[in-house]
Amino acid sequence: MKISETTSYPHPVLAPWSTDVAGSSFTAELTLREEGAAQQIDIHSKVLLDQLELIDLIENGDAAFGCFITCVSTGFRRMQRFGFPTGSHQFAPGALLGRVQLRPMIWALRPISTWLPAGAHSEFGGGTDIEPGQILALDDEQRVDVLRPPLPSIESIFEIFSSTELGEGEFDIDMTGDRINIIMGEATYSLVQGLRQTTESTRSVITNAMFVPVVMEILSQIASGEEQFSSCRWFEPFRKRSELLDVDLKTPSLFTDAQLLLERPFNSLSRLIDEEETCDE
Amino acid sequence: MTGIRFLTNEANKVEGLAYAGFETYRGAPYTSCARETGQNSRDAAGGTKPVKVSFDLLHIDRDDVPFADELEHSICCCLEAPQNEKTKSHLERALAAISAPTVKVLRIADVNTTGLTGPVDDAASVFAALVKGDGITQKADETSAGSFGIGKNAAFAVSELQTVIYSTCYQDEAESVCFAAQGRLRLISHIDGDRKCSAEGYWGDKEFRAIEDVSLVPTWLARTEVGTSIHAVGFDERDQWASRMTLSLVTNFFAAIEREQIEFEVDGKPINSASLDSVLEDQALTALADEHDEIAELERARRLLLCIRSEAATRHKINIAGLGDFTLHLLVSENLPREVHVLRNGIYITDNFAKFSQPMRQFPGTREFTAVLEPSSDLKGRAPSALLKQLENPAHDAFEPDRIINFEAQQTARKQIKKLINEVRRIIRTVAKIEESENSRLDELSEMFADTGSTRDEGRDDDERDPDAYVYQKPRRGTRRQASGATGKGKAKKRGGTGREQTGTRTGKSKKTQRRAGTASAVPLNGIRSTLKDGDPLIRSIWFTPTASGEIVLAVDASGLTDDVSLDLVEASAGVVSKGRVRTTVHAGQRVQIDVTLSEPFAGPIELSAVRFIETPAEKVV
Repeated sequence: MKISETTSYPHPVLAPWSTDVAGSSFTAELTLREEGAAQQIDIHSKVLLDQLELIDLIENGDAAFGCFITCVSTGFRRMQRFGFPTGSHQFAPGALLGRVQLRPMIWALRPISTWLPAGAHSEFGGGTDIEPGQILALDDEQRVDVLRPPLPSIESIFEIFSSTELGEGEFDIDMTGDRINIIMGEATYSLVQGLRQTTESTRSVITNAMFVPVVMEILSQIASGEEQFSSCRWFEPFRKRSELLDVDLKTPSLFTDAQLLLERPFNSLSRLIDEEETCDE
Repeated sequence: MTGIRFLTNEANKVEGLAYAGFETYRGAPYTSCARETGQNSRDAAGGTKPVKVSFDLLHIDRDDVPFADELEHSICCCLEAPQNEKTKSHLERALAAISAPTVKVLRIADVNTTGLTGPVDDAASVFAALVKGDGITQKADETSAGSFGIGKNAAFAVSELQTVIYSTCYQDEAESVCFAAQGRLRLISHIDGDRKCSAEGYWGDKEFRAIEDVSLVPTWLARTEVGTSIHAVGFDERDQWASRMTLSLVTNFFAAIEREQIEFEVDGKPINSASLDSVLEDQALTALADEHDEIAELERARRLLLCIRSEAATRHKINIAGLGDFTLHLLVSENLPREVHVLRNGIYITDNFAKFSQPMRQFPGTREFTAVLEPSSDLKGRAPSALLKQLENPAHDAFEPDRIINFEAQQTARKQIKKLINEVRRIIRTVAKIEESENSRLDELSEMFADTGSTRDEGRDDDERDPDAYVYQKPRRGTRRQASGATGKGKAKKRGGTGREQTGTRTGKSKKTQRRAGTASAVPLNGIRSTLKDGDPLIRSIWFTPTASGEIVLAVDASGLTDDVSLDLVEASAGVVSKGRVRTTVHAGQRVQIDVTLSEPFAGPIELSAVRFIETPAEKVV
């Protein structure tokens, strides 16, 4: 569908560049938002329309508001209907990427007899019969660039491994590699993974239950001789964070410093519980 | 002659106000009335258009209520009968309501339905089932949403007079439109003169018949269009009744509304597929839901609507051998509560099969999700829908296997439902499964212990893009395309949309038509307007204001799907037509109107352009 500001329709079309319909305006505010980690893209619309006959047509189901959406990168090309005056639609992951063009419009869903809205130019005479699909109002095309951001330069120095050699519920730490490896039995590993991916609350529980003792053990081992780890890639980021927080790696206070390095994880857990209780009240 | 008549109480039965059918809905009268009447209208859909149901509060002059005096008299008789304080208080309110100068009536009217089909005196008719039936239903469709024929009592729960008048238009077998109206009321058993009266009475024609002559009812009870109007007389109007009904409608019917199977209008405000988002997000409605502890229902409706509508959700057909097909909509995303909800006929039912020992509350090892389960919309969904209807309780909030009396049928249903739930769980485990691997980086600690700078992975490309994230620019308005030859700010694209700057001159030779009009410069036209002259797609009236004076050549193109296509002109009311174009003289700033006749009919949008005429040997008109 080619829609242009220079096109002349054989009936009044309300548009910001047109004098077909005087004294009224039609504007659509569009926002794009990503929902959750699954990368769904939502487009939210809010229509500002003060042409009463058009409002009546939409509210009575004789006309619809929507956007003609095109995305060259993905080949997406569709007339998407939206709720009125506000609405939203969630698209599949990857449907819109790169330059996305959105043309807000109102079009007829049912035949309209002698369409002549208030303010229509006198040159339209006594009105025109409208067929379903014909455009009744247009707004300026809007463009959005949907981009992939640069990959974050931060990656964790911690990694967890499952092992058949460890009993369930037991943990071991290997600090000799590029990363600090936390090793555990297969069932324990599945449980940890499940809790990590479940909710913010369960993630917070894991931080308290597993990471605090792990960091205590790391501090303990560094204190016993940091030179043994100085060639490991994980050591420099760990040393820098300790330095930043005034943690003395030579004589650490294991329990206190581990909480400090992990930003007092119990706080986040209790905050979450407070929030849930507030919601329940 | 029309009037109110109570059943005779030959057995001296003592009947109070607390009739079980009404009491079911007393706890949430607006919510129940909206849901039950909406469901009855949904079940009576006729044709392909969406069912429309309106809820309006009428203020009727007492003089226009034909049974007002009789009803007032009956209530006075009831007040003389032995009763407790609660009943007395209720009857006094009723007396005040019917004695007032105006009587409040809630009218619930539907169109695009079959109406209450007759014959009205046939006990097997829909009209008789609704108006006079107790605990029976005559819905034609075994998959219809209603099950018990008791939902009609919800309208009584919002009437202080416990009086409901039905009026309907339906088509009889000869497809003639018939009218019928009758009222039903329920007070308490009482004595009127020397007559012992039951609590139950009817307003209508003699001998408890319906009124079939529309001229015998007041205007507010009359209707001519096929459909049904329910009038709750003496409407118990409380604060925000319309919003509370709206809340009930959108939380129960959101799927049917979204699918354009039904639309509502409450106190003049439409609830349809266009307005559904706005209604669900309305701040006042959210505050009301919060106030009445229905915020969970409202938020649930928002989530489930997203689930059935989202293109990110997956759809799964579930076939249950010997029964049919169900559809599972599954949306996996963060901050969803791991829930499965059941809809039937686009109406919300429940979120569990607890009576089948399948509460569906725990989904270990899965990511967060929301799922909607419903019988499939095709023929293979009819038997599943009928089964769910059999299992559904009167409150429409649970499925109960004991409702199937036949033991073997009940056992079969148990097996089928359990198989269904197992399959639902299997799909959820597959789609929403937490990824398993033997090792995983603890990214949640990366903000504290980042592996940065010099320690980054070897071979890592700094231009690498994050595959798990998007960034959006704020939408910005594009540059408007300007009329051919126009000057000024902005980029005037050539037709076809290459985005290249247009020089403002034309070579005069069309690539498509190979027509040549001489080398000429474009003349911008302002205020272009066109109409079909007298509706004729062959003749187009065109208006424009040229920005330059002189002789110009006008070209008309059809605005096509991706590009423009020249339209050949064969005649014009001014100027000279040559090679499909019009040559005419214009004056800058002076409005021009010209009628042109096309070689072929075209009723769509057009592009109009003009170039200054420069005579060439090829262009000479003889």
